[in-house]
Amino acid sequence: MDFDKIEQLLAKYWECETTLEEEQELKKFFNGTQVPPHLKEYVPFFTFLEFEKKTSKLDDVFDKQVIDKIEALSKPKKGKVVKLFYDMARVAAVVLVVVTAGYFVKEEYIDKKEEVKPYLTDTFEDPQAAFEETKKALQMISANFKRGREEARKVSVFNDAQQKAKDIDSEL
Amino acid sequence: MSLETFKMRVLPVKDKLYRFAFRFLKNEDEARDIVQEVLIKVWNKREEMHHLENMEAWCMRITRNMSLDRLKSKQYKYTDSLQEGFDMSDGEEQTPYRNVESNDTMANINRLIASLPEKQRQVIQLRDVEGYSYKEIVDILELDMNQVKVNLFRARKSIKENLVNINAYGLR
Repeated sequence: MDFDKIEQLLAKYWECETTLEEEQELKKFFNGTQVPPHLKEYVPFFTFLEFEKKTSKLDDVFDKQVIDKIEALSKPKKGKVVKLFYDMARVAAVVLVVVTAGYFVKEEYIDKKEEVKPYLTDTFEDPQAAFEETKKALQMISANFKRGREEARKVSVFNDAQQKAKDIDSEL
Repeated sequence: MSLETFKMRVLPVKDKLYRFAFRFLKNEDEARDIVQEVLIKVWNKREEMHHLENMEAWCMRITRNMSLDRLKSKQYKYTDSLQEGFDMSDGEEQTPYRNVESNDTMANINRLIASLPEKQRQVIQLRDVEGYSYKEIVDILELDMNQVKVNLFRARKSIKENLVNINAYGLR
């Protein structure tokens, strides 16, 4: 081995003038067995450079993890459809609840309101007809009332009789 | 890009990304996490990937950016690089390679690199460990050529000085 050449290369190396190939040559030399004593002090550094490259590595488990993740990423469509389905189902459920609630509200509230309507709103368009109808109704009440009064007069007979009896009683 | 192409072309870069992320985060799990995120990002952008001049450099840049983001977001106790250099006990604790810890010299070099200022550390990692060209380092670190060279020069210089010191005085 030409030590002069190595020494030259080393000098160039410290000056940062070596090419990558020359640096590779240096690494090879110092990782070999033929290092003369006066250059031994540089051995640890160059062996470290190689050592670091050989030992500091990621294992196969890492590869598997990455590949698994990537494969999971490569099939995003299936996941999306499933997700979309769940979203749709959620929306559908909400719509169903709202519609059902709306139906019951209509049953309970709006329909009842319609039942109440005849008492509150006008049923006749023509005022004359309304007047006639009212008159008819009032006459019916009046007729019934009259009949009631005749019945009441019959009751007053007992009242008169009772009064007379009381008068006689007090005279005695 | 098919999954096969991804496995062939992108996945093998993982170790480089991991080592790079580790230089920032100093935590195996965090670095692992970042690399996974980067690879998935590549997969998600696989349609745009062929426009890229250098996919590997792009990945490295993304790794760097994400690592820096992670450092910020987690409010890492990110000690100043100067302190790191002196705080040896801390360095030992963060050493990722259990087998390196048993190997004193390797641990020393690892600590030595870890003690460099951030940019120098990145440049030396990219150039001397991973063997990237200056042009690629410029792309990855988004620095200009001059800054890359200056940082590499300084990094190599302090490594050289430290190696000589370790050898001469047994300093660590």
